[in-house]
Amino acid sequence: MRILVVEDDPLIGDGLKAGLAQLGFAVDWLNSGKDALYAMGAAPYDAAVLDLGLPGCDGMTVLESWRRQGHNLPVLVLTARDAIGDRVAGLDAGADDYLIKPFALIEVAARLRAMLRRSQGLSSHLLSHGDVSFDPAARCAYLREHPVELTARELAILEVLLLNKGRVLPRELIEEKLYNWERDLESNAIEVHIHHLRKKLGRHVIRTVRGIGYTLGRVE
Amino acid sequence: MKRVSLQRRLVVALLLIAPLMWLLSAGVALSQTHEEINELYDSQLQLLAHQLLTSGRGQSSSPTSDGGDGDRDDNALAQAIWHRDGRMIWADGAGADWQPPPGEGGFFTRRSHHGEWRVYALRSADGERVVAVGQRISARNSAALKVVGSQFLAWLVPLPLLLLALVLAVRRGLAPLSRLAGDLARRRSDDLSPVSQSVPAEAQPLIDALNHLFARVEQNLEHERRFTADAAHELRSPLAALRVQAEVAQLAHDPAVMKHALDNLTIGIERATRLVDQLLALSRLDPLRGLSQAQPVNWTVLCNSALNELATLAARRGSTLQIEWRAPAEQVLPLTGDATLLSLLLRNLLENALRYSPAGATVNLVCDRTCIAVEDNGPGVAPEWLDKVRQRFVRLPGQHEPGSGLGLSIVERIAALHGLRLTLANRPQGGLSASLSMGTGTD
Repeated sequence: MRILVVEDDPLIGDGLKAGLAQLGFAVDWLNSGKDALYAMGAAPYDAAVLDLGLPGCDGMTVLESWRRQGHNLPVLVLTARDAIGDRVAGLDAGADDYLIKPFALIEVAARLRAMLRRSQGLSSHLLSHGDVSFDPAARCAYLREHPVELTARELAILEVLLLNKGRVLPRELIEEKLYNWERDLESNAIEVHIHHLRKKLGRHVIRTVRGIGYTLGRVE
Repeated sequence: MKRVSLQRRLVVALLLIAPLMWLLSAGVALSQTHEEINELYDSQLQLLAHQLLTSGRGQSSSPTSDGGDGDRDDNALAQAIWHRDGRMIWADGAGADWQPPPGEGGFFTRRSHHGEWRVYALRSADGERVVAVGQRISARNSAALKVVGSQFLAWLVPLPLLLLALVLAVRRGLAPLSRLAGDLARRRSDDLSPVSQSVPAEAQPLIDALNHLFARVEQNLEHERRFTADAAHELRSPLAALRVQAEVAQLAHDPAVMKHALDNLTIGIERATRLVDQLLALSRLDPLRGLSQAQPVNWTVLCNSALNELATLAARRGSTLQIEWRAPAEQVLPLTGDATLLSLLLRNLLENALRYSPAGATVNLVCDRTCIAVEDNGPGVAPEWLDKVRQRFVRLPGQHEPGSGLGLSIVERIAALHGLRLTLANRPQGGLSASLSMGTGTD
């Protein structure tokens, strides 16, 4: 899942980026509100983490501008200000959730997953399809309730497909969801990962739609 | 202090004053009426005496006594006639008890068991007879009272109405004040909007003062709120950074990621340490009211040691740090002060200049006769931020250099303790100049 982090503090921003990457997210980090205003169009982000205390162009302005532009992705607001007014204003401006600094990285990840689940209309924390299920928090995949060893990339592709059930995802879109701006382009990487996924989870778990992309296979 | 209701005071005063005034005017009217009645009755007595003398009554020599001259009030009037030798010829009413009046006559007062009488005596032209006509004084008084009394009744009837009207008028006049008090009492504690009610003109200055106070309190509260929010931001951000980096190090499988996180953790700890140092420095400076150990300042020593302390930072940034002597060392800004505090001041100013100028900048520590200044050739400070940046925990927008927002507060505090004034200005040739000169307060 691809996340945009907007945070001016270099250590916090760097930590969020590195930490969320460890937890299975593809993260882009911007350190100024002005850059963030029009960043939404740059990549298919699934969610954003936004610091409210951005100097110059504050987070609230950024959030309002995103919502005005019609981007309704889930936004988690970070703030060091704990006055109720600040929190309420953040939620009213269109934030889906907020965390007060200092926060735990795993909590940021958990809230992001919860927000994504809600935005997809899912209630269970497990994503499943036929015999295959996936626990986004534990980063674990199961086939008929038995854990399956998958690499981080394979897990990420499975997650993207499970979160977009019933949709055919072009290869480029899957790539964009998986890698941040600093990705090393491996042209056939996605094909390779999908090949491995099929080997480990069964041939029919992922269906190739010629000329368009990939989607989950039919469940018998 | 015992509070007295204005309304009660006004009502009580009016309730006392109105009857008092009424009594006073009644008294004046009574005494005037009395006087007039006296004059009237006196002339009546004179007339009666003349009539008695000319009527020829008592020409006979035997004492007689009859109803008198058709007198209306037997008890109130009395008359008597005497012969020249003092023998009573005729008397009417209480006059029978009278002694012949001495001398030529005129008005006098006679007291007897019949009461007090006003008497007029008159001797006939031939001197043969003396007549006296008297009137009971109490009769005069009651006549005067009767006149005045009827007048006062006309007054007395509307008096309660007048008092009632007064009370109502006072109540009505003060009603806006009690409404205002009620509204203020019901006000939410965070409602500092100005009072817009219309009040009597006399109370308007009070309202103006109240609104002025509200505005000032609002301003203070806003300042406090901003300060707390800024402080929360500056204090929590380093903690958030430490926590995030520590978690990244824990999660990392890749040794390179872990090393990067641990390096960042060290930077974060340095930053937090600096913040704590700055906070402690300020908390020590804040309660100081004066310098405990002031000695003549040796700027050469101070400036050189400050330069040495920051040489590492300057070198790391590739910046040049130098002293510019614009006056002989012994003539530079003569000052007695605390060398430790002043070197903290110089360090903060120089560190700011180095950190907030681009790498490779030149920072000059200028020593002049009237000022000590730190000049850099960085981007300067937007004019609207020149004042704000002095406030605690306030940092310039777009700042990626870590800092606490406390450096300038420390500088200002130390400057104030030394009677120095800190002036921040953008230099015409670019960059910021922070200069210290003699003078108090901030400019």
